[in-house]
Amino acid sequence: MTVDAALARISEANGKLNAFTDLTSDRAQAAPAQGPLAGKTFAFKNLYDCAGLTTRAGSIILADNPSATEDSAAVASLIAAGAIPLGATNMDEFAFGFTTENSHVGPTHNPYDLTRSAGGSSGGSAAAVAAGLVDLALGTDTNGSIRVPASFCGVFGLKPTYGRLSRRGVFPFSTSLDHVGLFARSVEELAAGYDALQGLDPRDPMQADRQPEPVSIPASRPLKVAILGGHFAQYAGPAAAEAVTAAAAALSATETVEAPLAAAARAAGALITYAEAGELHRQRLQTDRHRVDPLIRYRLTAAALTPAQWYLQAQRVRRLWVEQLAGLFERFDLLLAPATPFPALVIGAEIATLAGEQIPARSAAGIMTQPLTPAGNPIAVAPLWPDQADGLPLGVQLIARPWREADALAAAATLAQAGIARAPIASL
Amino acid sequence: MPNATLQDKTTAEAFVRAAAPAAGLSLDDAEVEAVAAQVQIMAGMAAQLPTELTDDLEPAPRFQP
Repeated sequence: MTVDAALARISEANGKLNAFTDLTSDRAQAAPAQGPLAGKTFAFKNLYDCAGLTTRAGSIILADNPSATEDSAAVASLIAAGAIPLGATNMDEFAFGFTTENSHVGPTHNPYDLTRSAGGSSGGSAAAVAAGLVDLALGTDTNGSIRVPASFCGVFGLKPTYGRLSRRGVFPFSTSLDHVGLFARSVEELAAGYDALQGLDPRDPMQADRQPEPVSIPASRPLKVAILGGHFAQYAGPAAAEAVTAAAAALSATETVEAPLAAAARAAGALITYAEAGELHRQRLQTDRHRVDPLIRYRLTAAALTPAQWYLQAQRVRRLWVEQLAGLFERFDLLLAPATPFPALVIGAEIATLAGEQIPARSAAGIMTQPLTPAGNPIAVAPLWPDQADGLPLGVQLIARPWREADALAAAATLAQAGIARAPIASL
Repeated sequence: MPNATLQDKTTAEAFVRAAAPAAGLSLDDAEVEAVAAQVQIMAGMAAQLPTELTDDLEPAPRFQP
């Protein structure tokens, strides 16, 4: 397919999906398209710098800024590997949400059911991949913003180890939790895209000092896998429990383990996010909060008032949580959990019932992902299609030891080869 | 318990009125009420954190796994 045809297809589909906020026709035409990703197309969440485009992070406040003069490291790496940038994608404002319901530009619709959410905050990217509009798409994950949309939209996703990939040129959300990652419709494409993103970037002071460890095409291989119980079993709805059971069988996982700090880790992740995001946006809130999306305005304002005691206590809990998970990884190579407690929410849903509790639906979407982010482990999401999801996808998280992205991807490959994880192109 | 008291609406609103100036925020009454509702949720999360942490357990703001 030519670049013009690909862009025309996006323009047509976007009326239904609202996945793209910008097209980068000039950049697409000028891309060298040579290298390991030659011929692959990609999109990027609109918080990645792309020269010539204003980086908005879903905000109308940032829309006043001048265009980026340089590509973010991730966008530059994909182009250098031969991929063709087709455009920027929709997101929750400032990445502060799990549903890509952006009041300024409208929600992104799920390609499998247009009345439902694509998940968030990288929902535009996930929907674009699911609909076959691009081969790869960049997202970011702070509390689950790659894993939730991968689950809702039925695509493969990868949140690498914290610090693995350069975040240069990415508008931040919560700096001690932010991860760069991506979506694809196959494990092979996900791995190839991830390899293209690897590499030490001396201009990113937050990146870990660690050499690239290419995964190439991950071979399916035996891994010792355990199922995460406790919090993750308690809040799993019927479809999520079914997905985990099917994945466990394919991965020969028979033992369920507890991680008793999971609920506290979720709270810690949320409080760290509040403190860091609130301070990041404090000056904007002083002068421009009436222009912040009403869906996040008061949450973000409250975040700017987070007591230091909560933040520091949350960071200490984070240290305990890392140690608790490390203990589990002494016995197992991989941990398995649902990526979301339920399939895609209906757009506008306010309340969800989980484990007999009525909780805000938008935050409930992240109840499985949020506890895990503070530990920084690499996590792949594989899309399953449980019967109880009524034709919708629901992903599982494949959680590996730090720096062992290859294990997470190998498990995803096993599920794909078993035929239970797949990401077909959604018919619109 | 401090984390729990901010789950109370009146206390949360008093906290927001007191803390907003330090953040440079001038909030009207409607905003105070709306922000306090979010503080109550945050306080609920803070109440889930273990309280008995050892003194030598260092926070990790520059986290490396």
